[in-house]
Amino acid sequence: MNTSNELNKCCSSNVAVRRPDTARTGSEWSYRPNVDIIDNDAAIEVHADLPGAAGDSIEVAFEQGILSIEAQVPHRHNESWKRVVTEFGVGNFHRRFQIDANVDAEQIAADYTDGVLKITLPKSREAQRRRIPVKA
Amino acid sequence: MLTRSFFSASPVGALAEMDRLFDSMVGARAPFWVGGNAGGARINFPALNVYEDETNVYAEAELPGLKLEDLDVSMTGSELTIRGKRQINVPEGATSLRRERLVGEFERSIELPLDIDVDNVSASLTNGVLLITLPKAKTAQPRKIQIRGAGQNS
Repeated sequence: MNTSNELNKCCSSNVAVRRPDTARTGSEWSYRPNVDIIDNDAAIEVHADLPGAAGDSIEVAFEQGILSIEAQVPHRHNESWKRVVTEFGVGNFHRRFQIDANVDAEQIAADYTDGVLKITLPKSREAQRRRIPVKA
Repeated sequence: MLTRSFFSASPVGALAEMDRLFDSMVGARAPFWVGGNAGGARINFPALNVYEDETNVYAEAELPGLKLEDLDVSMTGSELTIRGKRQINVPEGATSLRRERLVGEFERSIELPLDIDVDNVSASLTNGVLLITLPKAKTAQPRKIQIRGAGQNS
């Protein structure tokens, strides 16, 4: 895995999260992963299906409110196999989201297990919902 | 597909998507060659890619988030069945902003048009990709026929 200083590997991550200071070059033809996104007050969680992706190829970046996910899917078939039925295509994954919440970029963590990428974007303190007690 | 957007439901503002270019999968989704779901109208889940070489048939499905214990792969005669269940729990108190991943139980059966050595079928699950290796029965494998030259007779 690349450990140059542009990679900000979070303690709870097995996936590198890039610092928001690197430029992105154009991406190749790729598939759009299905995602679930939940908001649990303290953080926004993105769960993305990335079946077949190589764990060390997954790149998660957060830059100016835009979360981008990229993953390479290595070829997994023997050259001698003959295609009989093709119901789905296989290729790299790419998807971007604009996150309007105030996120603590330094604390973003990502984890890839069983083909699912989970990204936790903790909200900065001022963005967290606080319950205000009403005096009656 | 279970695709719903929750733009207005977000308490923290819109989660707008940047690229709608790849809205549909690019791969060809051909109907299955010899079978499919008995129900007909239901979607065929999981989608399968099938390959073969001289000795095996290989069936592959994308099942992210599943573990081996969530899956049941079985053979009845030359019919392969994949059953499974995917559970996704949204923690209590959390708000769902987007839900696209399929959940629930599924079952798919396909009839293989050749004899399979049922005792030696194997399956592996790696990073959410299920690969089932189905060895062809000896009778279904190509056999080399020895051709004797005229001079070798007798």
